[in-house]
Order: sequence, then structure tokens, then C-alpha cells
Amino acid sequence: MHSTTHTDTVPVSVLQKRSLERGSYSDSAVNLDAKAAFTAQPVELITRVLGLLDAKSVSLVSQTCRLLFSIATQDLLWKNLCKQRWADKKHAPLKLHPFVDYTHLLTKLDWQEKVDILERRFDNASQPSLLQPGPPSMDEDEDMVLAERVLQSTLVGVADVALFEPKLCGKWQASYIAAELDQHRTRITMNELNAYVWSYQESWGYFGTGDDLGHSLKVRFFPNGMRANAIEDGTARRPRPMPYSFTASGAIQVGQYPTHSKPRRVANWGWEFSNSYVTYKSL
Amino acid sequence: MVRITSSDSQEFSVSQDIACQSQLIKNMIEDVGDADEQPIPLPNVAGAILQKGGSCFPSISNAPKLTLFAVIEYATMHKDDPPSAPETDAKPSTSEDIEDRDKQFLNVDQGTLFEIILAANYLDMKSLLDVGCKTVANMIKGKTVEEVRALFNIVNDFTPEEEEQIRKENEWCEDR
Repeated sequence: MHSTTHTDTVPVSVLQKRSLERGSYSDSAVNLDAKAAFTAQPVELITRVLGLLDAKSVSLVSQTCRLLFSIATQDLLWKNLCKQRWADKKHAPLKLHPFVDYTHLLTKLDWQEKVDILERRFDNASQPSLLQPGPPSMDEDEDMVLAERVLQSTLVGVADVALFEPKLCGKWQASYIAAELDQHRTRITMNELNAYVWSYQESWGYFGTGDDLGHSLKVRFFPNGMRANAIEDGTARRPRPMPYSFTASGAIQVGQYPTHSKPRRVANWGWEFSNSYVTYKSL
Repeated sequence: MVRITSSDSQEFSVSQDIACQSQLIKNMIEDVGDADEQPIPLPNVAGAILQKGGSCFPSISNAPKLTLFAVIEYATMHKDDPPSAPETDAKPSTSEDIEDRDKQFLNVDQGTLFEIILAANYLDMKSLLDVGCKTVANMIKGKTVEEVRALFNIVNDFTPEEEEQIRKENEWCEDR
């Protein structure tokens, strides 16, 4: 690069030269100061650097010393990591993860966060009184009741979950980690089965009749125990409503059809299960 | 031309398009209107002991005084860059994309690097701040806890109990 201003005459090597100068005093205090400089930076600059790292590297930095632990475990940083990590994943809204033991984080949860956690933990249908819909309440008692429910509901009705029990990390880091652990889960909860809309693909188009043939059908597993078309207004006739249930091993039985495979998580964190006639994929 | 003075009273004369890569200076010029009259003081940025042509470092204590020189050098190098696109939420920043000339420019010791980052932060030069932080981030990537401690001369001040608990909570990233 060259131009006519006299500042351009600063040689490119000027910084490198300084590095050499410093290097030649490698045993001096100057060099030690230089090496301690990262932790001496303002918190917002350290945060900015950590904001450029992946979750694994941020975790690693948090294990080096107390100062960096306090910076590398900030909710702001981890909420952003969750946002990036979960962006292309299914069933991963930017909300605190349900499979965290929040015992040590309870005071850090606001009203909405408690409600969000409870919603994803419970089979709402079987416990209809649990969540009263409505605007956030400023009622302290109600907030305490919610907090108590968050504690008590840790792992209610859930099998094969690797519960994450943090003591030191923050709520968003805990949620990030819980989601990582959860991707290996081998059982779907009733709450999840009920909550998702499923694509219904027949293996051979064999059962297709008339207009429905070739169309991608969407079904739901309703809390009333019936699997039926997701459109509830009665206009969709296929597939016919059928009772469903879990088998002891966590597989899904629909009507008298062959039992489906156990639901499994795919790369995008969606769920899939099938028998020789039908494949269900969570949407 | 814009005149700026560093914390050690060095005066620099730089063209406006170079100086205005600093949002701080740009704002000052816009506020004042005409910047020709008075030099702009930058009390938080060390200037340069080195004069044009590069005399030697007289002593250690005088050595770390090059920051403003360096920053101007960077601004000059980037004066013909297209204005940076407004930040979008969609594209998360990564530390991978550093231009070669910037890599070369920031191939310096840690102390110098951090001074440049601090100056860029103060002067509000986003691209230099970004590239500086990316450089530090890249130094961290792929290292173990012990290696990061060694890299930044960090003293482990956790109690054994704390360290064990933190290690436990971070186990998830080990088995991948």
C-alpha cells in the first residue's frame, strides 16, 4: 500500500520490530506484563473475544481461572451460543431447556422462563391444572408456587433423560449443555409426542385413495389417546383416527398395526419412527 | 488533513478519509465542523517515540509507545475498503475470515496486540477491533485448559473443589 500522506512512511515492520525488541527482553518485566495482558483487558473486550469462539472453547476458557470463569459463563454469551447452535434444529426454541435441574439457578429464573420450562416438561393434558394461562403475574406467592413446581417437576414423566445438574454455570450454559446431552435421548416423552405435528408417509401409497394419494399428510397424536389428521375440522378423512399408546420399551403402537420402531432422534434433532407401512417424522 | 495528538503529545497529520475510519474522530469532526484549526486530542492512545525513519528504541520504558502509529498504518492500509455492510443478525461472526494482510499486520507480541485492540475500542474502529479480537480468539482455539493458561500466563486460582465441579459441568465437551 502506498499513498502520499507522510504517515505512510511508517514502515510495515514497525510492529514486528517492536515485537523483536520485546522478545529480546524475554526475562524482563515488560514481557511478563505483556503475557498477563489478556486477563487485564476490560471485561467487555474479553467478552467480545469469547463471543467469537465456539461453545467448546468458551467452556475451556471458563476452566482456566476465576476471572475468566465469571466472564465465560455469562448468560448473554451462552444465550447467543444457544441461538447459533439451535437455529437449524427442530423442537429447539430459544428457551431454557426443560432437562436441567434448576435447584441452584431458581432465583435466576423469571416468571416466563419458569412457565416455559414447565410447559416443555409436562404432559399438559394429564395435568391441566398445572399452568393457568394468562398474563405474567406480579403476585409473589404465585411466583413461589411456580418456582416450587419447577423444582418438583424435575424429570416428571421422563425416562432415559440425562438430567444436567449444574451448581456453578448459568442458566443458558446449562440449557446449552442439556440440549447437547439430550440429543442422545432414546425415548420421546408423551408431552413431545402430543405437542408435535407429524408427517405421515405411507411406504407404498397403498392405503391412498382418491385425492389424498401423493399428498403429504400431517397427523397428530392427540392427548385424548387418538392419532388423527392434524386438521381437526373434520374435512380430512385420512388417516382414520386410531387409538395409540406407548409400549413398555417406549415404542408406539397405533391401533392393531405392527408396532412402530422406537422413536429416534435424527441429525436435526427431529424425531422419526416407522413400521413397514408408515413413517412418521416430527415437523 | 486532520491533526491528532496522542497521549504523549505526538502530533500526527493524516488525511480525513484515513482519520475517519475512527468513528470517534469522525464524530468529533462532525461535531466541531471544521477540524483544520485544532488538533484532536486522543488522551487514551499512546503515540510514537519513533520518528519517521525509525530511530532505535532508547530504552525499554519507551518501547511500547507505537500504538497510534500502528492504528494509522492499519487505517491507511484499509482506506480504500468499501464501507462495511450493516451488521446482520443472521450471520454470526466467526474468527476464521481474516485477510492475509491483517494477519501479517497483527503478527505481533501479545502486549502490542492488546494495546492495538484497546486503541481500536477507544477510537471506535470496528474493523480493526474485530480483526484484533479474532486474532486473540484464534490463539485460544484448539488449545487445552493448561495451554490457554500458559498462553496468557493465567494463574489457576480455583480451589480443588471448584475446579473439580467446573470440570464435571464441562464434561460434555470432552466426549465428542
